[in-house]
Amino acid sequence: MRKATLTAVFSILLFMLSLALSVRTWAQPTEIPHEDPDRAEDVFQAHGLLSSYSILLEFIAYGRFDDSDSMVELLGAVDVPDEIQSAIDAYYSLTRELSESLNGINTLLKQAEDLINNSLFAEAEAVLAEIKMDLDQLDGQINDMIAGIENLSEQIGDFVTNIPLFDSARDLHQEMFALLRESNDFYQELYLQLNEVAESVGLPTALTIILSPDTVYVGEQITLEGTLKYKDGDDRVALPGREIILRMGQSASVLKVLTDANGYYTGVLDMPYNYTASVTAKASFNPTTDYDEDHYRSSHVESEVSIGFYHTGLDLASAPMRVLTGYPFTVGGVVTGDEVQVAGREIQFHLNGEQIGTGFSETGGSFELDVTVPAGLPLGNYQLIVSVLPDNDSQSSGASKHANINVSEDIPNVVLNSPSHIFAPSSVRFDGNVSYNGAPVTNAAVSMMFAGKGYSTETDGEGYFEIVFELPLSLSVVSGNTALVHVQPEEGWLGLVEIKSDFTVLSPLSIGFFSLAVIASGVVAFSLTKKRRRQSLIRREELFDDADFLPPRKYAVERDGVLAAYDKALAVMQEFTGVIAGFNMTLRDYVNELDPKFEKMKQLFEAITFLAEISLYSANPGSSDVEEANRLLSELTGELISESA
Amino acid sequence: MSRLNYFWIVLAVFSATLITLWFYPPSADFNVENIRWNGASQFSSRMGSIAINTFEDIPDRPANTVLIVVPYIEFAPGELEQIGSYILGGGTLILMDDYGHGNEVLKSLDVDYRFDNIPLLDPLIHYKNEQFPIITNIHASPLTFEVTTLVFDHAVRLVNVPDTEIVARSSSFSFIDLDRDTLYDDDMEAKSSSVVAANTLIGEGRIITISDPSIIINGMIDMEDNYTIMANAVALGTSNPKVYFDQSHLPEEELSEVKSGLRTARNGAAYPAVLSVMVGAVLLITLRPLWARRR
Repeated sequence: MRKATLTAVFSILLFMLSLALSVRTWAQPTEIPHEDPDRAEDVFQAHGLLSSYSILLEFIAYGRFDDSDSMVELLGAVDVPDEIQSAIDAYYSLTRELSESLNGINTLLKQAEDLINNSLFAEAEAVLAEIKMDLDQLDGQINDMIAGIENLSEQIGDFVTNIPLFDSARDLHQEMFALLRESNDFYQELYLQLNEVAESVGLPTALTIILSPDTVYVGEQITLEGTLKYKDGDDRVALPGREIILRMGQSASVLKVLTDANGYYTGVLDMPYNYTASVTAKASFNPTTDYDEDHYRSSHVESEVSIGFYHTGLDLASAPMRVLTGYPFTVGGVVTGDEVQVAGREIQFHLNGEQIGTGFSETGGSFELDVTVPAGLPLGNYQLIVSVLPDNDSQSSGASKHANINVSEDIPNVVLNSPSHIFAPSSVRFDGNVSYNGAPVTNAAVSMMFAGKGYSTETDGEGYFEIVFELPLSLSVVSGNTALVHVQPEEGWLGLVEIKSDFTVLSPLSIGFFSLAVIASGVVAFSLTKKRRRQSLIRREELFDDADFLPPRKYAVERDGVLAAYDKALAVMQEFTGVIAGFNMTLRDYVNELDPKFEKMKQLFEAITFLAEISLYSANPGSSDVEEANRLLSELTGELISESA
Repeated sequence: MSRLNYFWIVLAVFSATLITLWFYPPSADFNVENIRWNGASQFSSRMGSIAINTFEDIPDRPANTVLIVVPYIEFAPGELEQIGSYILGGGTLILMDDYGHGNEVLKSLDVDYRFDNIPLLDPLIHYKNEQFPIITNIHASPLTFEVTTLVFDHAVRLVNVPDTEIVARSSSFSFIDLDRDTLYDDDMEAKSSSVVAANTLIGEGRIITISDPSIIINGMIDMEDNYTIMANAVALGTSNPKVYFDQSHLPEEELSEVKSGLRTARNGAAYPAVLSVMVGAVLLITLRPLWARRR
């Protein structure tokens, strides 16, 4: 029993050692640098955030507003601990507003400067007034920022992991605020300079404009008229012979007219073909002579003109939701509109920013046009834009509609004929047919993988393919197998098809080995059964009732309980060990003859022998000795049976 | 106990050891059977990818196929040429690297840009800490369809990428940690946006380069749009691609080597000669008592 325990313990230790050597699972990988994200340390660098804000303030102070806009957007995405989220949000808002204000002031100052350079002093004055309002608020915004950073520093104090760096970032902030004040002073100075220039040059002039008609159709003409006068105190004095520039919207073409003796001007302009609701008519006066430049300021006036045109409509009647790459599809619709020219209108199709088709509407405005998706366009979802171009001859606007389409591939129909079982060695044949919409798919590449080898062919003119190969006698492919067949048509709109074919491979060798395994199992089962039956024959009754096993000598005294038990025990030991008690042996001699390897049984028999000796030689044998002897006999018998097993 | 019983006990324990080793899930990084945080089992399963242990398994017709390579081990002679042929033939290579041998591939393909192999940290726009930079500067293209945010795990950058081939960039708060102390040193380290992904057409095929392979591990694949960009990369150009995941350039662990040995032994046992010997031995053992009894 001790040996069995040692063997089991040794085996378990060997098992665990094997696993430990082979399975190093819990240590972090040392060669590949990455971390388990679930266990990664959550770190918030307060000094880093503060430092980034100081850089942002620097961008703002130096007028690098593109950089500051990008940075503001990024800082808005920073993930911060919940405890300081509100403080960060407040400071972020202040910074963003300051950036927007300074950016706005900078833009307006440039605009004012351009207007002044172009002698548009009236416009420049309006812009300068707006700048003044913004500058008045700027100082307050900077003060809010200073208070904000103090508040923020207190709030995020608990998250400071590097005090020197944090203090350094705070100091940098103070430097940036000083820089911002300098910028404020600079803008103030610039404003004053521009304002002084605007107010110092000449007498203000007033230009009026009257349009007729109020609504004009595209391509038609409109008359602009008005007066140019200068302000002399409360009087308005006409300026004759001055050039007035007339312009319609953003059109590059202008009309130059002269004022008459009463300062009156008039001109006729063509309405551009802009299919919008309105356009702005502009008239402007700019001094051109040295005298005028010294004495009069420029002026300009605008007025809105309503544009008339015929509104074109577009209805898409049919547009597919799914199209195949490189394959044509049809889009149908109708051009509509009251008093609109609907026939003969040019229709264009755009996909992914590229024009993919064009055509014309037919009588009644309907159209059904074929369009082809460019081959090579990546598969996915797109917007197909269908546009009707404007028709200037009929004063009709354009129109467009879009449709969401999915560009994808289609799958051809593949029929594969494969065997359900194969006897190795033999020639194996796979064949089949590839078709699409009932038509054969020719020149499609067909490949197959089986048992680590690849085979390939192409479909013929009927879409038929055939793969034949030799399967050798090999046990490695015996049993269930799977062959993978790939079919790739050469047409761009047909996708790859993969088919799996399951079949069983058998061989004489496999059948033979299987049979041998069955026979071996039968032999093992038969042996085990026979052995158990033989052991079951060794029953107590047979041991004790068979006269052949009785010892040859008889005791002089009656067989009492102890000696009866001893008799039976002696019979068992002689049968099991093969050691026969000689006539000249004492009870003790027989015990000493027993092989020590039957340790347990020997101990039990020795105990029974001792009781027998007491029974034989003692004057007063114990009354409980019989029970003890029978108990020992039962235990001995049980030990015998387990040893036999 | 008889000697035979000892033999059976040892054999049972030995068999249990082998079975355990056979079925125990591996723990190697990027292994397609590794279900732990550092494995690629989820990505491989969702992609339906085929793990290959040699470039000989790359199909001869690379069109409509995708090959994913994470090269932590040097390439053997001839392998770089195989990759080149694969791409020129119409295959899509997804090269994911940070501190490995990805530059060997780029150099062999005459591509000008390279992996920087220096840590890219972002102290502000990150997940948990600066080693997990969040990428939000995504250039619109079919590759980045519905991709707005990526999360990296110990990444590097790509240098000298042409503007037209840039796919994604890190935030302008990120910096290259030249002295590898995880702290921003304004004397020698500049904060700027760095390129982290590129898409380059080569011949009939393309190479998609990403400067952090860890976005496909189980712990990272479901973060933000990490899986989406990989799905887009795989689906570029075909709706039913075959995806091959190279496992031969990943560091092997002892368990994987043991499994490989067991596989070799199993394959060897399939040979008729070996199987014959084994069956004969079994028959000898089982029938020996019968013969002994007859004698």
